[in-house]
Amino acid sequence: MKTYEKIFQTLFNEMNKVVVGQDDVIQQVLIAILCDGNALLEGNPGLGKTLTIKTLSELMELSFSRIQSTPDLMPSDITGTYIIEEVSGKRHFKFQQGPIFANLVLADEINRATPKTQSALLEAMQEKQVTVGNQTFQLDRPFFVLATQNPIEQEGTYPLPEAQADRFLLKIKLDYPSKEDEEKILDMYTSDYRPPKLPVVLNKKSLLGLQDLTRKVPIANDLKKAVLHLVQQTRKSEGLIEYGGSPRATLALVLSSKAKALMEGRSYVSAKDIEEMAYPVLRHRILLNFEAERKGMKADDAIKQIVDKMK
Amino acid sequence: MRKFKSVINEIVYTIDGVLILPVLINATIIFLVLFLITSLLNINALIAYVSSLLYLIVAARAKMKVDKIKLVELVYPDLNEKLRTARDYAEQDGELIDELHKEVASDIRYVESSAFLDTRRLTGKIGLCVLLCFLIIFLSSLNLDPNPFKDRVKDKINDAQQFLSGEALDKPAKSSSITTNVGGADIYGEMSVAKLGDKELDVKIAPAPYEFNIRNVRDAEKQDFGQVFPEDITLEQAGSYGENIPKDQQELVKNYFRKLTEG
Repeated sequence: MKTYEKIFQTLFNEMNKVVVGQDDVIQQVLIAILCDGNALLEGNPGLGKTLTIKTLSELMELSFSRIQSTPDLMPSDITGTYIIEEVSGKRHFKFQQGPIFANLVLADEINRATPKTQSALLEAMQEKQVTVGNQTFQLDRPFFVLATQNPIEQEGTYPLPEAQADRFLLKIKLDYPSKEDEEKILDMYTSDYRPPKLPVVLNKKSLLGLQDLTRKVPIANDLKKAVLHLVQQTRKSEGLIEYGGSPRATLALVLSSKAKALMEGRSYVSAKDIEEMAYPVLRHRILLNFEAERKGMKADDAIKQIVDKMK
Repeated sequence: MRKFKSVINEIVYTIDGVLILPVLINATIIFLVLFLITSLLNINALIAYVSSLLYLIVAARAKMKVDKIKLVELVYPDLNEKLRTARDYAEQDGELIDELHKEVASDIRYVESSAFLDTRRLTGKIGLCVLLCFLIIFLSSLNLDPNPFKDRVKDKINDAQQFLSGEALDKPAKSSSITTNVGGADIYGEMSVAKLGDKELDVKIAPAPYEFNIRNVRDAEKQDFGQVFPEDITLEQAGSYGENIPKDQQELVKNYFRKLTEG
């Protein structure tokens, strides 16, 4: 287990050479990758979202693509389309793969894309395949989508419906860096700093192996019951929550706790893992009622109340 | 790692033994205390046996239901969650599960049985048991009246009954000697029995003749008692005199009077 802990520690160390002060975000993105899930990232512009995922792709020798969502983005712009190609005087249709055919995909400002385009992306996320016309194309494994949402600009946006947001394993909140971290960023990126050539810490095969291993991390029976109880409480808190977590939330919480345990070099899941992962797993899956919103509560506050009651 | 199942079983059996010890000592204390009380009050000692046995059964069952693994985790926080996860996967194999079993098996070597016993309290209880044993033996050796309280209570009840029925409450002075307190009554009986009543007796003393004729001396004739018994003499049982001697002590009383008359 110490070997796995060393691998992830090395990954963090290499990431910190390029991305400063986002250790929590990096950890949660890695957890989502290990669980073979996708993540929704919410944060203000300019916090290093693209840099984070791009650096990660270099460290894991994975292909990376970026999709900038706009209101006129079409599903075919994501999935790809057939183009006419002329070879030796003969013309035929050739499928041109879209940006979705990468291992790590950054879908920037997904709430700006139309619902139809969002659905095309979400279908690819869910099925790990793309259907164009009457042909189905499998996506390369591992496949991870990091979709971002801009919390500031809400005009002309199409917020993800809750049912669609439920398909994301985690919702990661990106905050501004601390003063010390921002000073470090300032020193790094306003001087003649050149990002170093990053070594490959994990290759594709190792990553797929780790994804399988994540599911094998043991979890005690009473902790499984605690997870069930926690998610069920989100459905029963009538004074606070209108719409609670689905069984997908239960699966996500257990899987993400296992991934966290593996990353920390433990061969068992602890209650602390479940407590910490409850927030990114549940915050986009619960809908607060009017009373809670009137009091100015956020989803994290409601989750904290439920977690504290269980202690 | 199926051998891990035997590690878990060993932990459970060891902790069972450790948990049962205070229960046994408590049952012993309960037995000794109740035995002492029943001996002093001359009550059947079966109460002590039954009570301590009941406590032993109930307490032992309660202790058996305790989750031993959680108890070990409580005493050894380093094993928290690790041990119970290993227990839940005791019969399974896998890279991570084997790793966990190895880690736990290594950590378990530092678990000591003494960590689950409150030695101070246990020593105190054992001391109390020894003290109670000595007390019981000491009181038995003094040959104390086992019924001091019970007799007093009984006397009070009798006094109350007699008061209510209007009878005299004169009683003989209580003797502390065991030989004069047979069956709870004075061997001489009630003092009131010694009175002859208020009637005057008209007694005439007639001297018997002492001259006799030797020619008239002959053997006594056998006569039927019913023919010679004077008619004016009758027998009545004394109404106010009734000895209350228990049946098992009547022989003793008979022998006593016989010895008095003989000697």
